Amino acid sequence: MTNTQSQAFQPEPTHLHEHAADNLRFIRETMENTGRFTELSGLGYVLIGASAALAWLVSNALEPGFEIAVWFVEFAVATVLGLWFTARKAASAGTALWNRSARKLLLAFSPPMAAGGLLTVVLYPTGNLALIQGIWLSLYGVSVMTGGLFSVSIIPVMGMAFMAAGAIALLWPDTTSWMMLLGFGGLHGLFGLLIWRRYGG
Amino acid sequence: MAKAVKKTAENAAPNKPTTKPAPAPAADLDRLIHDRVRLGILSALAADASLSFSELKKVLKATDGNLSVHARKLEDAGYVACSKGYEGRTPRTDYRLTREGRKALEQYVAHMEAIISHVKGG
Repeated sequence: MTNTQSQAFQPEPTHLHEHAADNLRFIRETMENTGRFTELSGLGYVLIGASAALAWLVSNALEPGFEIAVWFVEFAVATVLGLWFTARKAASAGTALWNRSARKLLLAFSPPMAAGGLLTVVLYPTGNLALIQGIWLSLYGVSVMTGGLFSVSIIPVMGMAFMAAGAIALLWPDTTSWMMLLGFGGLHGLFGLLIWRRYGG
Repeated sequence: MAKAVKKTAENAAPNKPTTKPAPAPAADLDRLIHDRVRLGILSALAADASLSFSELKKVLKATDGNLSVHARKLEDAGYVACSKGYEGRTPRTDYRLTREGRKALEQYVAHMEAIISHVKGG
């Protein structure tokens, strides 16, 4: 075969980064084939942790009446951050965000969150913010734990850690403020870093 | 850490077209898990703490022979641990990821991400 002939049969050049992206896509798809939702963003959790720490600082600086409003705003910010970075991770991996695993995760995650919302409405008139926040931590932990059964194995561990923080806050109400910082700020940040490292940003 | 990733990327990605499949540098790339079936086994076990042989076979759409050969290689390298038992009267083999296996997969993912970010960064 002449040089000209061999050049004619050269396959299309493929970029190294395309192989790398293909390999990452394969890893994520394989994880998802086990029935797990793998697009939760580590970076998203880190930023949620940072925004929660900021919310904690602001709520402590304001008068007690405004504290709950600050945490409602933080809930909205965290939801947007979580959805945005999850969608971003799914898009960069070239996988569908709204797949069977995501639906299962949301279905398992939502009921305890709804119960938390209902209890907040019922307990708000009592003015017992420590009790409300202890319930937030506990039920968010339950949500993460049950939803996390349809995601990577580290997520239910984060749920358990939130439940422990909630238990401490409920049993010793004086610690509630610190548990809010440690839970929504610290645990999100810590597990976000672990997810980022193990499963990508 | 970012510096370390960037350094790996610089070593790893010449940013030029190539005709070879996934020609990452041999020095940095863990060749043992670069194989698709073995990479698949580690990825599946990273998502699920423990999977049986038949569950892995279903996830990876692999044949018995192919899966057992590759699983054995990973076991020999200490990347997966295997336990044998019975489910009723049926023999059952369960696999789980070891610490070394998780570390190897993390390094592989970091390597791939470094290549991509190196190219994106120009």
